[in-house]
Amino acid sequence: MSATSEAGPDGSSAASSPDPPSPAGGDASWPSRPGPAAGPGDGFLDDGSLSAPLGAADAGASVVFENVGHTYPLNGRGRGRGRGRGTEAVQDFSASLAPGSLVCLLGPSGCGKSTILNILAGFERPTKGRVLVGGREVAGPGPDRGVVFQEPNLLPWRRVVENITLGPDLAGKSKAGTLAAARRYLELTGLEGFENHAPYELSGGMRQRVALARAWISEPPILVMDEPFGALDAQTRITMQELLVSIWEKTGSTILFVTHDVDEALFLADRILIISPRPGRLALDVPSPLPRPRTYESLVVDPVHARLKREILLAMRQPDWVI
Amino acid sequence: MSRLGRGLSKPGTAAVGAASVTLFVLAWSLAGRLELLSPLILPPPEEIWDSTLELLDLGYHKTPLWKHVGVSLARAAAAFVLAVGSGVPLGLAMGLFPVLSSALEPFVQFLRPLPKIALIPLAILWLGIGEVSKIFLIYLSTLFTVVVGAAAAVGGVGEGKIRLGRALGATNFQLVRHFILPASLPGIFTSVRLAVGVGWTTLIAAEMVAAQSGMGWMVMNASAYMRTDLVMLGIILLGCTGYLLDLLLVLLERLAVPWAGKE
Repeated sequence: MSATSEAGPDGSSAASSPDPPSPAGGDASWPSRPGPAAGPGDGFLDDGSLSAPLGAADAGASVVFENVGHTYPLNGRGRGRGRGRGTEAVQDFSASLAPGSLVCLLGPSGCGKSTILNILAGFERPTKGRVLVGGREVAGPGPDRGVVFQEPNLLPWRRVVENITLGPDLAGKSKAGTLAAARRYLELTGLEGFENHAPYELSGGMRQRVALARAWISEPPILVMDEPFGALDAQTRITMQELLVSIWEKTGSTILFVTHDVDEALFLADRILIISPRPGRLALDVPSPLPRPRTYESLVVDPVHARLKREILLAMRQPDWVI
Repeated sequence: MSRLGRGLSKPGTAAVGAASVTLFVLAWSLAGRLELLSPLILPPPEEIWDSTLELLDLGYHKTPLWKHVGVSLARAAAAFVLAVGSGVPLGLAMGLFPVLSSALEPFVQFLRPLPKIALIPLAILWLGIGEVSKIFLIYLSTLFTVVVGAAAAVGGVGEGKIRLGRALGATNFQLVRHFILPASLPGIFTSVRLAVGVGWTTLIAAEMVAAQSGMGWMVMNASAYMRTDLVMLGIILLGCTGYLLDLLLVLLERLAVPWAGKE
């Protein structure tokens, strides 16, 4: 078992260590191996409620993956009552995300990182192990975990502002409060003046901003993001990454961000979990020592960043991956 | 619009269309004047025009021309409204509930391609020779295309939309009301357009059932008297009315689902 077992759903191993594990400057602490040593002592949100007050500074919840495995069944009818092998996408994945941390899942296409994300979002049930959010086992999708998809996934029959207020509207929140919040997020995402446009009248980057605002307006304790900027051009992607960090710093959600882009992970993450090719396993757990605020201009001349990037690139070159 | 070659402006498209129709009518008229074809086989447009004026004046079999058009339209419209009103909910339900779909699929797939003319004897037997059996035939030929189209539209709603709804905490009802239904609307409109086209073609068959009026009946009746000019007139009227019906549906679609095809 791993570190996660000592912090069961009942046990509130109450906030002993604060936010993401901060390596004490020295290189010795990273990259650290996955396993018992890597698990930070999580502070669970032990008030039990997943709906944190709006705009609270530390609104994030903890996330614990306990030996999660996922095997997709074979397509069609396998003989012998589905005893066929199927495709193993994720194998024995364990990790604890500290509340309010921004964690990137980094790995090549098809390595199972999206499956891990879908399991946290509740779209897929793990075939082994379980996922705990704020100490509670994930049983399905829910509004406590906001999702930003690869595509903006906007509803074309709703105007921009109506897309943003979709979550609160479904929850039956009052119109006035919702609109005020929508205005705030329109401003934060730089979409003022476009609230009454139809989604298909916007550029790709603006559409993804609407998707961000839609996920954020409910201020969920957890946000899961599946390569949300993958389809954007390099310039827009940087703008969106900066936007993501700036809003994250205001809302304090715990973010699990899936990407295959090393630079994106280095720019965003408190901690980078490198996933090996299928079946996805935790290959390397890399806490980021890079200080914030970060900019691409400063990172590019930062020797720590350069070493870290080299280490990650080398790790991802290993033929056999799990190291 | 254009995949190859240069596209045309809207008035340009209309002008080219009008010119090609005019050219066609002129050639047709010329063929008549040169007596290339017997008027019995292909009456020239002038003759049809004269017969049209005559019919407008006297009516066909004592029924005014507009009434023939109106009667046919009323039969078709009643059938279409019933077919859409029952077919869309049924198709949606089949798209939403796999068990229902599995239970009804054999019937739908059996009846949909069945030539509805084959049902005329049964329609008369069950429903008599009044309006009901005529509407019933048009209804049946429209219904299944709508059902299959609506079910397919639900099936075609992207997994992403469903996941989005679930992630935002939508209840099953909200999922249908705010995600699945609006996302299926463009597909439903397409299937209704197709279905109306199919239903309109069944009009003639329906009006073979002891009718005394209607465009379809007029065509059948005129052919019995070798009035090829009136057969042609009936065909032109049927074609034009069908075209207008489709234009009406396109207009409705633009109003109801302005986002269609723009995602």
